Amino acid sequence: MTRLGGLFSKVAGLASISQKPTIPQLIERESKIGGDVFGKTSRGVKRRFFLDEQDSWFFSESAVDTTGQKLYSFTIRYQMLPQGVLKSVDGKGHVFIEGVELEHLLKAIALYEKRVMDEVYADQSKSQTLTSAAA
Amino acid sequence: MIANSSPEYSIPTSPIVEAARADVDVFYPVRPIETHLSVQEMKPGPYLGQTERAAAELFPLWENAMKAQATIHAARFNVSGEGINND
Repeated sequence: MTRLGGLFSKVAGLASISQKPTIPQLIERESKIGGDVFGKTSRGVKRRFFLDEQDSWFFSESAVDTTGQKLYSFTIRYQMLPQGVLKSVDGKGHVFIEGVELEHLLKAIALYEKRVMDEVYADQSKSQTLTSAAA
Repeated sequence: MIANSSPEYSIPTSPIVEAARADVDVFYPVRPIETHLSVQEMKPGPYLGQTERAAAELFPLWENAMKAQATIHAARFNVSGEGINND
């Protein structure tokens, strides 16, 4: 009975390893890479940048001090619309961006694509280990 | 640490400094967002700049960004289990 239970555990483990990652899991990994596009963060700063399942880009950043006290956090949404890129910060102040800010966003998207295609999707087997690594 | 202490938009300075050392400059708020653009104010076509020249210069980047999004969505679909018919 014990051996049988062990066998089931092994089979269940193999099933878990071979399970493909979900899109949210892939986005989670992308978002960490995306945060690196803007350079190294200071200690206590967490930064994410990613494309959601629609066509919106999110930039979020939060920071805590050395005691763990929250210093700030904000999330910027860049919604790619036919008219242009509509930005909002923490859900407020919708405005179409232009000029330097738009140029930098578009360049960041290009860098993001290159890095995630190289680091997440170039080798499919890497991505398929996400599920077991996350477990 | 906090450059803009407005309660609504607290933008840190440190990422700006860090971004200057990175490949891409920081692009998030370089100025406060002061206005809400109504639907009526939306311009037709890609709203890439105040002038035709600015729009023309950014249009290739815009097109590349659109392609990048499509590429990423397709890659996610292919790698994830969501592209498989489980029936």
